[in-house]
Amino acid sequence: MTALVKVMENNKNKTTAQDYKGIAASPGIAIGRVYILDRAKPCILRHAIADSHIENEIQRFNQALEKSKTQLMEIREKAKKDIGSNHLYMLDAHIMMLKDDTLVENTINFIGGQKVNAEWALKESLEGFLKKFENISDEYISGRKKDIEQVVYRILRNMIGHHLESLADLEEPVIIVAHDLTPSDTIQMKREKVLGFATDAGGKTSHTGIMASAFEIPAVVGLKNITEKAKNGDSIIVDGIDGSVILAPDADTFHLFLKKQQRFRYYEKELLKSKDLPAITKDGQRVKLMSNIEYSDEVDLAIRYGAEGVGLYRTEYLYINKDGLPTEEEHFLDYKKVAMRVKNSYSIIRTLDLGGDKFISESKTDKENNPALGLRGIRLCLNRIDIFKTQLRGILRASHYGRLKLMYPMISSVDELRDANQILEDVKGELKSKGIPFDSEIEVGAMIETPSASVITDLLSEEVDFFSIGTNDLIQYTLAMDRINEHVAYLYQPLHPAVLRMLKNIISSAEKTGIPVSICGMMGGDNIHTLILLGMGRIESISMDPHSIPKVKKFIRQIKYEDAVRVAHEILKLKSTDDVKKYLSEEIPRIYPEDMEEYNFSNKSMLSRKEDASELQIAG
Amino acid sequence: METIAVIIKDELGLHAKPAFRLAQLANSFKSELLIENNERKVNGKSVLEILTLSANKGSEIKLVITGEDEKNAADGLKKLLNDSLGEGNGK
Repeated sequence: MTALVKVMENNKNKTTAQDYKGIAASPGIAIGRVYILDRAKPCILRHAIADSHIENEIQRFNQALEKSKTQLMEIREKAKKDIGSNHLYMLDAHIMMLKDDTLVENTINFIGGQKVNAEWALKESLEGFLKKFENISDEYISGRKKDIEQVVYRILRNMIGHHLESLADLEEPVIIVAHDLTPSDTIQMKREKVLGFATDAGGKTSHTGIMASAFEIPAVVGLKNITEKAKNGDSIIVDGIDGSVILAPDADTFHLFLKKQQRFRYYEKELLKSKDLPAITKDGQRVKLMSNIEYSDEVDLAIRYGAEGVGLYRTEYLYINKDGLPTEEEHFLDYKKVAMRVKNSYSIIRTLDLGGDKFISESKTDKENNPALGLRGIRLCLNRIDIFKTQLRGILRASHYGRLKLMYPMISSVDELRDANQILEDVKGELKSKGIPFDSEIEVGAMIETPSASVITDLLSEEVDFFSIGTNDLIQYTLAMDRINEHVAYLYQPLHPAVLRMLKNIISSAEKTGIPVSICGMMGGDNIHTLILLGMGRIESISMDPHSIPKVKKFIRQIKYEDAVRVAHEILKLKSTDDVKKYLSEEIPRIYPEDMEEYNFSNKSMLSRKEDASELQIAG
Repeated sequence: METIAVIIKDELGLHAKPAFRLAQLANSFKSELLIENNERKVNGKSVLEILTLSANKGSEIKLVITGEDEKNAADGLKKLLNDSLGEGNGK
């Protein structure tokens, strides 16, 4: 064991040049090859073709040109109606570039001369032009580079045969390196083709982070410029435990991480053994552990990991990446699936929470300067009652087939709750009059995720049956930090005294009014945060990404409620995030000396800053 | 072979819009069109190449037209140049 530790230490000094630090977003070790997912440019690979295929490639190229022309003509027709003929000139220019004599000729010559695929040939011709443009000092003319690129990318996409490069087309397992991933990327992804993620942008709670966790794919985010450093096909290691990425590892490093990967998998398997036991502290405090899900199909994974129910079904995915809005029937069938699969417990369906880092593809909503503070969540639903009612009908109808609760996001006033409930009553009335069965006693809750809601929980409690604290947004709004902005990602501080006080207030106030309160943000998936939350008062359930459940359960079964109460009480007296971290890093290992090593291993957090401890664990 | 010499008068030089018109017109003829600026010669049927000439205001460019319809082409191009690009003084 000591020998191995030494190797690691030696290695640490050697590999500085290719070692990149980021934020660990989903645990595990992924070892594989880089696949750069570039949103702006289609990713083109060169491959050789046989003589007999040259004609075919040229024909493909010509067809793509024709198709691109047709598309641009259609856009032109539409633009003519919308903006008048004065602005059509740029589109005419694009159409002309498309059939540019030299561009077409060079590409065709290149296909035949180099015997390569048409995509590569076109890309080479494009680059030839771009180079010439680079030498032009005239800003106006060099500015046309963008136009040429746009035109060429359109042709390329038409040749590749789909709108944009998509993760659905991956042929062999790779590690995705991207600036950031959007919901439309991940929704098409085949789980088995993606070994890991490394992204420039984002924090632990960005879309990439949440999705990677949900799919159990190791991920490091917030690497700032990894897309510039990595090249397609490079060897890469993604360490989602310690939040680092290693490019072109040497043999020693490679073997070390292979070991770390095996240890981690073994550790995860061990954890799953306790999945059917209840989450109960040594001194008898019981809490329900539930799962957050993004797709109805994730229910199976959640149950496999020991979730007692679904604490938060984010329904945005029904809306994303499709033409038009989901129909009532689509809502109904999807929620029905969830309702029927969760047997002895319930599932909480959260109504549409679009906005922030989620979006409707093809921007069906107007662009906002500040989407996190804009028309999102319940605000959007009250603004688009048609959309809201369709979803409510779907949820209500599904509630006949299993126990469902429904929950409104982004609540910030009593008025919103009353309005939403009134609409719900209207929908119930409609269903009743048509004789459609539903659970007329369905419980309704409010997400507590805005500072305003958190200070009026006593008032809100008169309107709903339960609260669920969405810690991600609550932290974002309380600390006035945009959690998808990598420059302020460090401000995402769950242990900030303001956040702790806010949580304490919500939990105490809910206790007073006798309304059950649950946790459904990322704080719930972290052992130490769980301990603090439990210590703050009566919590009905904690909902988290499925893969965190075994770890948190094991932890809860090892702690005492009275310790949690004491720790929570103590940290509420502290003045700064650093004070709180310092207190915890001393106090927690003191109370639970043995358990913490495993904790360090599985989840990089403020406690595992004692880096050596986690390495010992790996090597041991 | 027909040649046309032109001095670019437009403030922006031979920028995108006239370059498109030029290439567009050139493409309607069978003849080849070469455009010269400072010893650089480019294919006058390719708007992208015309742009790479980077012909500023005051540049003297030469158009060389060869082919079966060179007479017609030269007339058409001269007209375009006179109308919108600068002083054409075809020889």
